[in-house]
Amino acid sequence: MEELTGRAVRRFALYHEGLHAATVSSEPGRLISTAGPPPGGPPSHPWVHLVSYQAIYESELAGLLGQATGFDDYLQLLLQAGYDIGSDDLRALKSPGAGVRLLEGNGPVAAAWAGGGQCTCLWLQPEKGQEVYPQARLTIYARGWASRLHSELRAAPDYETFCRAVAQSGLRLLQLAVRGW
Amino acid sequence: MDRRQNVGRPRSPSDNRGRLRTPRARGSVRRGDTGAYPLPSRPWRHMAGMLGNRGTQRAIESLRRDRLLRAPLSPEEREENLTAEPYASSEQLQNAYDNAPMLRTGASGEAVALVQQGLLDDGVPLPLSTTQGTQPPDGLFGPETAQGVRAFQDRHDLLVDGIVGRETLGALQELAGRRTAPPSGETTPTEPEPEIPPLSTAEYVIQVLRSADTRMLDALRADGAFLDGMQALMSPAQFGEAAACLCLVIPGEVQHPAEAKAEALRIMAAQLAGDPATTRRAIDRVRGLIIPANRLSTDYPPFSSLAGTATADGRTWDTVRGIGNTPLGDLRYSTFPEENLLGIPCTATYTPTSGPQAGIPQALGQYPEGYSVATHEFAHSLHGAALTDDDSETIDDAYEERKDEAEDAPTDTDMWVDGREGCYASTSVAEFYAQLSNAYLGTNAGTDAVTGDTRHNGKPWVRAHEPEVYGILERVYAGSQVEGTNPVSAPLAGGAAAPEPAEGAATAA
Repeated sequence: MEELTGRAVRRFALYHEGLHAATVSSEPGRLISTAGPPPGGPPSHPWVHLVSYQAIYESELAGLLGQATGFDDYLQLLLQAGYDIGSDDLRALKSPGAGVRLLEGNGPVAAAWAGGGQCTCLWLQPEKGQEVYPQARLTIYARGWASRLHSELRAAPDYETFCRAVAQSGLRLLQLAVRGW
Repeated sequence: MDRRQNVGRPRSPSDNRGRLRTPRARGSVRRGDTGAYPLPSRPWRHMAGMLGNRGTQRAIESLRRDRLLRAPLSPEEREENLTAEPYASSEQLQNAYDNAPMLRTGASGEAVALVQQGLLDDGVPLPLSTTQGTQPPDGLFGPETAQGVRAFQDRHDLLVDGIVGRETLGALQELAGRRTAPPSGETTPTEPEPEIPPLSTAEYVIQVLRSADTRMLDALRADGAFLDGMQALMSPAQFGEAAACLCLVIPGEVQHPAEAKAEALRIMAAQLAGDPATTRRAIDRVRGLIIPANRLSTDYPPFSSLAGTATADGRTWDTVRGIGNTPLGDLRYSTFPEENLLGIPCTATYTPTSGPQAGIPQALGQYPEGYSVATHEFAHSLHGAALTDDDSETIDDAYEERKDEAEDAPTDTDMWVDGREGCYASTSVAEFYAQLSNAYLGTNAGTDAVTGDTRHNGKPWVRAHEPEVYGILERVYAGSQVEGTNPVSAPLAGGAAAPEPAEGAATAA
């Protein structure tokens, strides 16, 4: 993975309790609420463009954003708060489908969804159309697991085999809810 | 109320689009109405037998009893007697006139024959009881006579239950008196009663649903056989009307419940008029909640969890009137602000407890005439919970393409349905679809709150600029047109017109 050229602007979908909560991009942008634009338009932000899709998570997303020192720090705070992060290659409001969170102890190291999609890392997101696999849509959170998980994904013929291989490598699999947007 | 006003729909199931283009029938709900719609006159038990399981039948029967059970007569009322022949001389009919007992299915004899003759004289056909009209009435109170009594009761605006008591005998007596009254000089020809077309079973079910209480609606939503039956029986537009009844939630605090209900049902029916599979998913997953004009949206679940919390851009949710696709359990809720349904002022206020506006009540919920928050929010919920993944992908692709195009022409006011880049519709794929829905339905009047550009409104623009999404809208909304939303210049409910709308204050989600 590390030898790939990453995108200049990373863009991820945030899921919580199986719902698509928001999309975030690593670029100066605006904070878009589901509540529609206030007079004068949505406020700008120096390093993130956030589009919310679920009212119930907006307060938390804004609160974490207020604590974050930068985009990568924000992603880590989101993981700690229980969000799952997927590459934006899946069209924004399409249901992510069945998925698993991969945990080392209690710490999330990746998330994978059935149905195929891009394999990406939080810190390096391949260009659109690159690193796309039919077996699973995989987002790697922990650098120490990047090569291993990338290899397992390429070697596995399907999603189930990938999950079994990951489980044998010592990671715990937590099934993710499927609720869509 | 003339019940025909509530059934003013084309009779042809294939003419659904024409019905939905019909402007709002303002006469269908009168000011001050607070109760249910008038009950239709078809046999409840017949419907219960056709549709649904035993639970549904019990619920329907219970409702029928609740509504139709007659109160006992007072001693003074029992002093009154039938006075006109041929009824006055029948002891059995005199007893029935006192409701003690009433004549009903299973009765027989001369009294029944007199009732049958009264029905015949009023033009109610009883072919079985009269051997195709070749014999006098047989005096047997069977299903045909019960149905004839119902038809008679319906024709004369009586409680329709197929049972002969004081009301029905009173009407028969009055008719008999008219027929036997001697001519007195010049007579004024009475205008014939206009013929009331009978309701089809589908129309009848819709009327029942419109009148049903929460308990009954809960039972029907959970009754798969009933829903299957409706879907099979009804045209897509009728199924949409029925679904609207099942998807609408009306809190007790709504200030103008009859008017708000009628308008909300009109809107929802338009958005559920197409593909029955989508409509069925909506019944299972989507609800529209009317937010009273004097209450905050955060006063009601599922939005109450937002009370006191901030939006992503730092406002408080308590000030937001339009919220869509918000989950509560397996359901997705959208708000239907009452003031936006009826064009009345929003009297709810929010008073911040901190910040520069602390202690100062803030006015909420001003929208321009012809802009519907309800259609926008309901579109969100349909998008989130009723459209297919393929639909979502199509909408996403159209949005991404439009974003790419807008990069090259950011000031083109024809770029988005709300105008140039930066407008409401450009902010997310969800708002893109919801605003296109509004334009398709004709509820996107006004100017964009951010850019000030005039919003595009109407099917031709959507068809020309977003043909892929237009295909989805056609399938789901089936050509529906929702005219006259948010009528601030002529509110549907009592009270003064709303103040001049402030564009900047328009906030839908």
